[in-house]
Amino acid sequence: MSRASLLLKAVVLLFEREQILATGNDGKLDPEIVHQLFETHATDLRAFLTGLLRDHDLVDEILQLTFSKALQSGGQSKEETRKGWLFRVAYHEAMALLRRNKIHRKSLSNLCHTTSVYWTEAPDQRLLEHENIEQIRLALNNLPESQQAVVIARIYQNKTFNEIAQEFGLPLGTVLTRMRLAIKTLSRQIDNPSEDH
Amino acid sequence: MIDFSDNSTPANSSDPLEWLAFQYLSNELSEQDALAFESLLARNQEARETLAASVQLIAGLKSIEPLPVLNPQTAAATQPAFKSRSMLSSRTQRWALASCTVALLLAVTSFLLTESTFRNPADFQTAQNEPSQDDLKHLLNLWSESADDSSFTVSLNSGIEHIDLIDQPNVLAENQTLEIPDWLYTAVSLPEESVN
Repeated sequence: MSRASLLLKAVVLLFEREQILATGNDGKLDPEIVHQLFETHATDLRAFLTGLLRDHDLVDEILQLTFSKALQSGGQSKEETRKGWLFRVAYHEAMALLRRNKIHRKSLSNLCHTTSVYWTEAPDQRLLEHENIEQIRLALNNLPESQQAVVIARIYQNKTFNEIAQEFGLPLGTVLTRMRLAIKTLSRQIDNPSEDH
Repeated sequence: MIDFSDNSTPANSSDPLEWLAFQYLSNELSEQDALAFESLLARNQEARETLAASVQLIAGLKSIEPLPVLNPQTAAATQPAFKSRSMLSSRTQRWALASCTVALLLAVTSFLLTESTFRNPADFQTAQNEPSQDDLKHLLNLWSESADDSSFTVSLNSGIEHIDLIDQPNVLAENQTLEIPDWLYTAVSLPEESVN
């Protein structure tokens, strides 16, 4: 047997061994890996599921189901796409739950009008950390005043865009554009706190 | 209607994902657009992460207290509310402070007056009513009855200033002298006919 073919055989054996270690030989994922995935992605997944389900209990149920699936069959996914795999499983489970419980989208609460969905004493149910809240405060204060006014009227005073347009004496399009720019700026500043607006 | 049929991303969509996600979360998308956005969520990880980030953004905004609006266009509409609230609060605070000060002054004055009354026995005595004959009679009767009940003997005849404890010789020494209160002297020194 040539030296090259021996080397190739060794690489294949090594790869198979690593695959077995990481996934088990039946698609299961090592509990330690699942634990790490939970530590890394649970907060974002919770936020994503909150956007779909708007209910703490349902979010908890689907989050638990998602990581159970990760234990059972997460090994089928590649390591580099595991975050996407978790989000995809969470999405499909959430949609299945809505269909099963016959929960219509129109009955889901408007996240801009409610505070109960966000407010929780349990640390493991938080949607974001305190430093993120501080970043958001700074980003809001850094917005141009015209955009701040629209954000405050929409988010804190629960006014519709039509009401805001009437109150400010502005065309609806202008109000929508200001809100859109504000959301864009806020999102970017939260992603990159050092970015100038 | 928003078209995501080609798996479009913010780069080639007219609306950025953040804005679509915000509209989706605030139930502002039409039924068709919401369905289209959900189908995008099914296959686009960037859209899913953007939705999660939008939820976190709104959660963050909801958990902070915004500054008053400074926009001149909206100042007229919003500032009076803030101003009147702050004025009301400072006025209330001033009233509370004044009330507390008056209450404290009253308490201190009352305490000082009470103190001076008890420190001057002469004033205190003059404040008492003079005992009437009926009071003294009643007092003596009560004393005698209680003395009978507890086997105490009170001698009135010879102005003896002792109380003999008949049944408790071992407890107190015989003929032990006890302090007699002033009011008892007064009662005992009354003429016998006034007692009867």
